[in-house]
Amino acid sequence: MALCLSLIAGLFLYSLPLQGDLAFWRPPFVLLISAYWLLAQPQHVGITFVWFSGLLLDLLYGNVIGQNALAMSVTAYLLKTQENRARHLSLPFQCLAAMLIVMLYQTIWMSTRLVSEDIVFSWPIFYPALSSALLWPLVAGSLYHLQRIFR
Amino acid sequence: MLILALAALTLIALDSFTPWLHPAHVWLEPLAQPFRWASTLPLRWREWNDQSLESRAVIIANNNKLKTEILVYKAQLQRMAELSAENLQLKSLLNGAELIKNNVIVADLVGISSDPFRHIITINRGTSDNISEGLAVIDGEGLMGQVVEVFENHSRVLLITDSSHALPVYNLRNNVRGIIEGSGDFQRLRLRHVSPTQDIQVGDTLLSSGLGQRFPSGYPVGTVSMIDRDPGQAFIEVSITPAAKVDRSLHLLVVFSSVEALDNYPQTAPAPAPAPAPAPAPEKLDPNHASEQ
Repeated sequence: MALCLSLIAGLFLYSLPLQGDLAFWRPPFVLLISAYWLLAQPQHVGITFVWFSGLLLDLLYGNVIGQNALAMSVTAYLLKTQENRARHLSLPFQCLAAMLIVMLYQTIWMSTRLVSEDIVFSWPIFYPALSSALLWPLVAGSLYHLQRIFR
Repeated sequence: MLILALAALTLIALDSFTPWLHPAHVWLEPLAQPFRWASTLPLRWREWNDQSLESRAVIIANNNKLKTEILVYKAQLQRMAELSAENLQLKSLLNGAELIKNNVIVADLVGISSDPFRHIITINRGTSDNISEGLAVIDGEGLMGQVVEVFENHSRVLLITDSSHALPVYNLRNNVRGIIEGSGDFQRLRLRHVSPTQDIQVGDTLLSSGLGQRFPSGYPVGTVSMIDRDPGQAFIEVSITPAAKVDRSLHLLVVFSSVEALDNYPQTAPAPAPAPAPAPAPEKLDPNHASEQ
């Protein structure tokens, strides 16, 4: 239940309207939320779940189908290999980890987009990593409370 | 994991290079409606704010201003009728075979692309309103973009500021032609391949030229805001400010161009070859090369 709610919220926040250049700073909320559940509820959420949420994101927002599915599942897989280490990080290091994860995701995503679009690789593609690191305590905190409410 | 990655790669390839997955996009459109609507909330809030939170005095003042504006426009329109009749007559004298008449349909913005790298908006008109791919979209101030994808009740519009978009224009002051391309920034367009000897000034208005047969001619695209003459470069950098409020207009117009034959006007014998246009055009633009995508 908490899972569905947070995922829907994430899908809405993905299109979080920001003015002008601020749009480059929008964190990939769906990725952050699925990464949280991947670590918090490994019995329910696996890489397949992340793959499907990426697919849903692509379908809803009219991207080329499969781009987010690929980028998110590969990122989730790499996170899963470091699962035990990641779960015991303190908050500042969690933020750092979130930044690395988002950088990885952005790199994969933008690379797949090069297939059909002309994207200029420049610093703005890593802005979401910084903003994710800053927002991670908020995201993780609210997801933790959501989990407590629906337990 | 490998299977999932391969499946995703297959989907990407299928969707990029074949139209087979298009039905999936079409079916899922209704589901995406609330998400798209959510993306326009700040614009809507601003409009609501403008409309509902104004004092009585401001509204009255606005109303008076609008009334005078209407009066001025009506006066101009009276002249317009005479001018267009005159224009028609002159065209028929020159053996112009057709007259382009633009019809418009009002459309509302219902969604904005969440991706900062793609300037795409969604409007609430689709195949049911005879919208087709390639139609131009304008707002009250100027050209906004073109329709690139049509669904039953809405369509996607690629804005002129998208970095993959370019359109042919001409300078209102001296008729020099050029190609404007988007820069990925809502406030800025670029004029391509302008030679340092070309007559261009800050403040020049650029209109769509209609070359390339996609955009109707004569709609304002932007004004020159900055010219950077670097002696080391073969071309000068010209920045354009778009005329349309590309990132804040909520109400748009889709332009249908229909060509009317001038049959009911007297035709004269073929005139002698028209004098070559005096406008100096340092760069010869072949309309076939005027890319619009």
